[in-house]
Amino acid sequence: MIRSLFYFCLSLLLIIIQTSILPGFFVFSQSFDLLFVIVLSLSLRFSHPGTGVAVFMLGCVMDSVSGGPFGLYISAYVWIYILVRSLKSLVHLENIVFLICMSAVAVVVENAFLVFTFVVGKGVDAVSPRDLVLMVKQTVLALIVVPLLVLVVDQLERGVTLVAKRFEGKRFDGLE
Amino acid sequence: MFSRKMVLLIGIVFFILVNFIVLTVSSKDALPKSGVERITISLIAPFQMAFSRSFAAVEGVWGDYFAMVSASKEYPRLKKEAARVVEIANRCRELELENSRLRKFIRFQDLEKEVLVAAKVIAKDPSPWFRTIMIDKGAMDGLTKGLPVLVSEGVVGQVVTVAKRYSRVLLVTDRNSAVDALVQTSRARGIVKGNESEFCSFRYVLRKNKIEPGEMIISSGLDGVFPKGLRVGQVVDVKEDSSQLFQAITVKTCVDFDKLEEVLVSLKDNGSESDGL
Repeated sequence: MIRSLFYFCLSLLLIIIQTSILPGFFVFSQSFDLLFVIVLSLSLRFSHPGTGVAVFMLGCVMDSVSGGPFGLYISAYVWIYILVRSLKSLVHLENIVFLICMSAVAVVVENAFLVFTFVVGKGVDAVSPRDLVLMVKQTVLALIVVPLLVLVVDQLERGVTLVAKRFEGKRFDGLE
Repeated sequence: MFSRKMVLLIGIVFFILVNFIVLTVSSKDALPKSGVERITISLIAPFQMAFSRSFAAVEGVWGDYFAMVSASKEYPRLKKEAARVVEIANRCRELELENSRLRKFIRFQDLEKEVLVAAKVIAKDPSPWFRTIMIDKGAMDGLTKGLPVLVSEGVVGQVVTVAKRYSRVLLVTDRNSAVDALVQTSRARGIVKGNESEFCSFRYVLRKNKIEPGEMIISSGLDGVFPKGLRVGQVVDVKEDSSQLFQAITVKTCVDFDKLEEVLVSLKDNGSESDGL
């Protein structure tokens, strides 16, 4: 329960940061999707079927607040989730190289769906060389930043769960 | 009958097919609008609004101090300018009355009284690939899909999604946006297309029309969305290729979209036509 609440609040915070704060700064306005951090954290840490539903819901929210075609974020997040779920059994979960690779793959998957929607909607001319440069920039940035953020979220989640357990323990001691 | 692997394989193929069909239909804007989008906007937008207002309030305190300092220095100059502006405004008022009389005289039928609704920008698009903003006015304030959104500097965009209290606006700089426009001086017609930056392209302008950098591009009113005569941008570059039918014109938008905080949504009040005449 406390984990679900933690991820819900964190997702909401990241959506607000991405839509209300980052666009105000030129340096960050062309950054990658921050929700990758949540999708990767959930996919790596949990195997519960509810995680898939949560990832789908996240995609749904992002599709609603974005001007892109509906289904773009849902597709990207669900495929990232499926990829990570399929590959995580082959490697050690603490493997940082795997995390770095998955961060880059996440950006590539989302951008691939984006290019697909542009080409289907407007034709091949809709994708300019400037778009490709931005995609490469996002991938490089994600390679460095996303793994760090995933590790921070992981530590935060452990801390919050520990505090909640201690609090519950104290409450039961008080009742006794 | 089928092995587990077979079922899994069929499931994956089915999922991929459904996924790409939905995306294809959605990319062509042919997917019917579901309530999910409106409900999600209604749930997320209050948090975005609370956050952006708190952020603006903190920023405002800091900004107000510096504004006060510079305002006291600028005051004498502005006072002189204000007197001049009042004189110009009086002259404009006279011209407006004269225009109104003349329009009546020639039985001009296309008078539409414009009702403007002021709205605050509460969020921007989470993706750098799309240019949309969220505003704090929705269906309850009379907004509908397709209404033009403006500021005093010029055209901002048009309303594309309307929730109960919030709406999403597609900016003119988005690649999906197109505004039917004219060159103010030569009246050469074309379409202003978004380029994901403050520089838009002014397309389909024939080579026979001579256009110079610095000329103003205004809305033609022929797209049925934007009223005629609104400023869209200024020509910054003109490229003529003898092998091409049209010129390649770059236009810098009049509106600074990075600093957009408040906008006006134009509600066309057709019922008041008779009042104007």
